[in-house]
Amino acid sequence: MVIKIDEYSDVPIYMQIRNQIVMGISSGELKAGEQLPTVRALALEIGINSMTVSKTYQILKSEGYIMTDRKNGARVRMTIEKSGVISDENKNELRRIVSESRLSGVAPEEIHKLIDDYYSGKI
Amino acid sequence: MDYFGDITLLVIMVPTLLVMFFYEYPARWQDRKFIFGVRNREEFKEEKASAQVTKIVSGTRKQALIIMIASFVLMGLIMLIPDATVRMSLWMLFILADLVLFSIPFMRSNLEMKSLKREIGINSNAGTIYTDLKAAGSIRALKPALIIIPNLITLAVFILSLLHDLGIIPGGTDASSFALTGMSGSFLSIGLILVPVAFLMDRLRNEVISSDSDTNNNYNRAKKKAFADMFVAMSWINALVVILYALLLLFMNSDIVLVIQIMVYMFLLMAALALFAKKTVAIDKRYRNETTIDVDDDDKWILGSIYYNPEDRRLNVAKRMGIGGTINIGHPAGKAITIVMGIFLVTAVASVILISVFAKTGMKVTVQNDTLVCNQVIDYYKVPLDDIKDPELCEMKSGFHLSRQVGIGMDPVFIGTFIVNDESGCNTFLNMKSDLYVRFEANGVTYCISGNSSSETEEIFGKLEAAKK
Repeated sequence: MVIKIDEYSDVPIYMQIRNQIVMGISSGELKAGEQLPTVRALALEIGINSMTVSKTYQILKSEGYIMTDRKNGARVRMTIEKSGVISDENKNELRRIVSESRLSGVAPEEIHKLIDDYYSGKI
Repeated sequence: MDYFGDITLLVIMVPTLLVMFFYEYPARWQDRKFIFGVRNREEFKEEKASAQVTKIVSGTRKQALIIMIASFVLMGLIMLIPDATVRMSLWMLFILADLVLFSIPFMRSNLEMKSLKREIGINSNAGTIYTDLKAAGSIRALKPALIIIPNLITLAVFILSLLHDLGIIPGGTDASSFALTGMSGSFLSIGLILVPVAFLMDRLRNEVISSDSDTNNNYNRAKKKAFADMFVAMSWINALVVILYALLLLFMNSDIVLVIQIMVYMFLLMAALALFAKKTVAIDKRYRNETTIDVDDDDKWILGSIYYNPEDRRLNVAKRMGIGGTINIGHPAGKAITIVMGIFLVTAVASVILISVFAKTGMKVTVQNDTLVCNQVIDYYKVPLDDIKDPELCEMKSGFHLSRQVGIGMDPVFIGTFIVNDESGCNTFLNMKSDLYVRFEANGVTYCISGNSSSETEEIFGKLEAAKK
């Protein structure tokens, strides 16, 4: 799976990596149990500080997407807990996206279609 | 052999320039990954842009060809200079200047290519980094044993030769000449430098050329394999050339052995480099159609040859001009290395000039206040006349042999600690223009001293004899 980092983005690099790993797990690009690179290897590969990658892995671990141990490094969890609810943070984000779309004159059907496509993994 | 050094440098420089010319200034740019340090893109292949790129490439190639031919002519002219000291100094300065000069068309065209990019409206997406999670830190092609074994062989030859020269191992005819020891030591140093460089190149960041991880993995594996093969080949060439030299020395002890060795070494080295260049061009061509991600970091490459990116924490990156890796001078350690290299370069040029001045300044051997003083720009030896024992006037016959241990050895001047006719550790102050030299002992050390001519040497001997009486 290829991740893309934008050094000039407002989103911090550790969050950019986190978001793309989550998207990778959701789309199936990163399979259950799949090995992730070590903190040091990924930091060297991207050319960033190890602490940044370490922070990403800590967040992903605390959110239940990955598991880490000293022997095997980081791996995608075999089973990810399905809470069945959208977090408040994501609801707020969705509200912002819908609001901006409404202001831009995007029809609700288009937003629904986009959500359906994302959800089904078509795009 | 007066022209031994010149032939050696000629054998090194001619193939180096040829490889640089064919690798850096290709006739067909379409298959190359970079055009003068600027990433080759699909946009360049469009009709209008393609004509402009072709014009830049052919113009630059022509300039490089002129510089290369001029370099060959200059090398020939340098070899016509009769004075060996002037010739060697000019060689050193010429090599440094020529390598810079030969890169100028490349650097100039790098600016032209960047300007063309802006002209055809390619927006820079600098600051975007792609990383493949599947390949991160896991692709290695170098097998450590393959590069360590040839260095162990060279080390073994070096140790055996050193023990033989020190008289610990008997046998052979040329004990204490240090010829094989010096040569194997030099080649061992080259080999030991190659080892960390090979490991660094094997651990370079993987390139992302496609959204497909398998394509990225195969591409990076192929590239690293080409690098690893080149470094392994270079290490084995080192070891084989040392063995060849040792074998040749068994049959003849002559400067011609060195010439043969350097020629064989350069031929094999250039063959390995040419093979590597061919392989990398073929890999880039093979993956050209599968490349869907083009990272644009051209602006981080000053003149296409110096990588400056303070936001990148990597110290070592793959070169865009030449073969191998280079350092990121935006990295703190990179800055320090650049300063050290700069100091080293300035010191090298200054040393060449200084040595020439030394060699061209007359040697003076005088007696002042009952002390023998050997001076050339500075006082090298001051020996009280009372300490001098058994001075004798000797001839530099055809069998006379000098081998440097520490000091200056630029024909005709030899100053420092030398092995003189198999006697190690002699304090030497000799001008080979004199057919005679004075040999004496003082405080347990042997001195071999001459003036600028035979008559001056005879005069010195006379003074020492008179002082003895």
